[in-house]
Amino acid sequence: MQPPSNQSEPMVPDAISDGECVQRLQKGDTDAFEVLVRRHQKTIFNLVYRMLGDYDDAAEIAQEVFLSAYRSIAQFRGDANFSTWLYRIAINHASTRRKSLAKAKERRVPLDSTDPVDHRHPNPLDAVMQKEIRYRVQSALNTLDPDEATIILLRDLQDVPYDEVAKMLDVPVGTVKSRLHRARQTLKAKLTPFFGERNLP
Amino acid sequence: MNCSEVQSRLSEYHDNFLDAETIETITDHLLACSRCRTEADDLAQTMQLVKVLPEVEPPASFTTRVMAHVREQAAKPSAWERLFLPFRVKFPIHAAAVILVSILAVYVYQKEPQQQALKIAESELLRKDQDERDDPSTGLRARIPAKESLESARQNEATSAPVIEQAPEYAPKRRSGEDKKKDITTPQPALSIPAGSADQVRQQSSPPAAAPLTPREEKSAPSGDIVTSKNVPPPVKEAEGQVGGAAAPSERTAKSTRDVETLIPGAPAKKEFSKTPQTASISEQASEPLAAPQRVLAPKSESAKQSAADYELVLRLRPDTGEKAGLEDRLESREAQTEAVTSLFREHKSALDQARRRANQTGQPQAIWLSIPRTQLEQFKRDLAAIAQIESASAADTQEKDEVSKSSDPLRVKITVLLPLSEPFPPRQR
Repeated sequence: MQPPSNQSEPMVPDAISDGECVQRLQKGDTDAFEVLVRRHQKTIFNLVYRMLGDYDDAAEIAQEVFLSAYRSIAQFRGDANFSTWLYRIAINHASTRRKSLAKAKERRVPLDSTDPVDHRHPNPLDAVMQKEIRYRVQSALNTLDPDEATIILLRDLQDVPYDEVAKMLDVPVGTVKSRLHRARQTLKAKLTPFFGERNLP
Repeated sequence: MNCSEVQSRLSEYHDNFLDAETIETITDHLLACSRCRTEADDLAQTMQLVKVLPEVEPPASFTTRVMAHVREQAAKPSAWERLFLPFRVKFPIHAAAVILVSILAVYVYQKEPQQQALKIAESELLRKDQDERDDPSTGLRARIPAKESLESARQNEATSAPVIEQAPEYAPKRRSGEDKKKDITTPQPALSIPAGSADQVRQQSSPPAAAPLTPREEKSAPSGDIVTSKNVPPPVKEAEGQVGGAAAPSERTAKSTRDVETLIPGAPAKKEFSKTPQTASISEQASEPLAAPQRVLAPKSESAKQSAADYELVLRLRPDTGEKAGLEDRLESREAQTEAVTSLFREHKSALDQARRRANQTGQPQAIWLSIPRTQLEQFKRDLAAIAQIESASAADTQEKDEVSKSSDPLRVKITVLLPLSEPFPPRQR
């Protein structure tokens, strides 16, 4: 919902759009940025988290993403979605970090302390299996090429539409389709040995 | 549609990114072809596995930390402005730097050609001497011009000597990078004075003259990267430690052009001194935001501090149910229920509550040291368990471990208070 542009609206997070926040921010209203951070922190954090496989690294990089966005807000033009623009920054930062992590050390898989329990399976055995599954999936993601992991996470984890993915990665939609298909096949090949014939809920 | 065609489009099929007709064609094929059906099922399963990866919560203080950095940056635009001067100001500085270097190069290297000319003249003279001996008639007359030319050559050198001799003022510039840095650091005590006393500064003479050049040049070096902050620290830190006042960018332009002129040999570079302090003020102010620590968000950042504790406890606070549910509230309700809380616990609860508040405010784990009599340790731990989850409890790994039970001194207990994991059950939607 767009508030009337001539009135100054209170900073109620739900009432004020991204575009409005950016406009205010570009005029020097720093508080407007806080609205943007709160609104997007979870999705950005989760994308970065799944790209890096580590909670602490994700926290560090996610913070850098937002600071980077703040510093370059002057260059953001209203023609693109703020969310798309922010995602692009996140993808860049996370990819860079992922590449250097891959060289530096074996990447950890997120441990269960931060992954919440899915309450559809209160059965302890199911909970254990669930953790095992998540462990395997994240491990497999960690071993993919950064580009492959990115595109899978954008589509399958965060449900980003094809055309938005294309903008974020700065490639044509056709490339998105083929890259996505190849990435999923790669991941499938890694996971099928474990999940072969089972029917998962 | 054959199998390979179908299989290549399965991704789009599952994403519903195909037109109705193609979807129908593929569906029909899948119903009939078990191989393709298996492929489709496996692909769908892979997608589903990623889809059900749980969503995690960012650290509770994420927004606070980001905004803290943001506000810090917002409050110091002048420092950045000084560092990343607008282009209209930078070009004159670039120009000045280029001219500077070229002038210096000319003067420093001027010495060589003159020396060479001298040597050539001498060797010619020697040759002529030889010729003379062979040919006496030409001797004297030939010699005199040669001598004269030699003397005139020497005179030329003499007149330009002041120029060359002053070149050593700038000679430090020719040294290696390390020496350059030493030049900057050694005169620093001399330059650490208020900008007002320019007279004193002037008396410092030649070495400091070299120092201002390098910070300025190095400052103009990262000019290409206005946006990247990471390029700033190295050159800026070179000028650190110097004290000075502020200056407007326009003032700087004027000074820089003046600097070019004053560096022509013969004139001491007075006006540059006031510039160095400016550089210094920038570096001091700029180095703070740049030095902002990166890993502040790490929950386990309470690292290897030297603790003189006999016993260490790590507590994970339980998430607040109410807005300001303090320890006191919990304590009272517990008291009503169990009456198992000891006076010792009451004694320390204010310290614990304070730690809890600090942890919530700063978003950082807090450590407190308490003195607990040995015999009451277990009861104390039971009391703690009422208000927080004990993540770990361990006796310090020291020699005294064995003697712990023997000594009658109270234990020094280090308690690390951790923030609750935000909304662990259930976390999904907010």
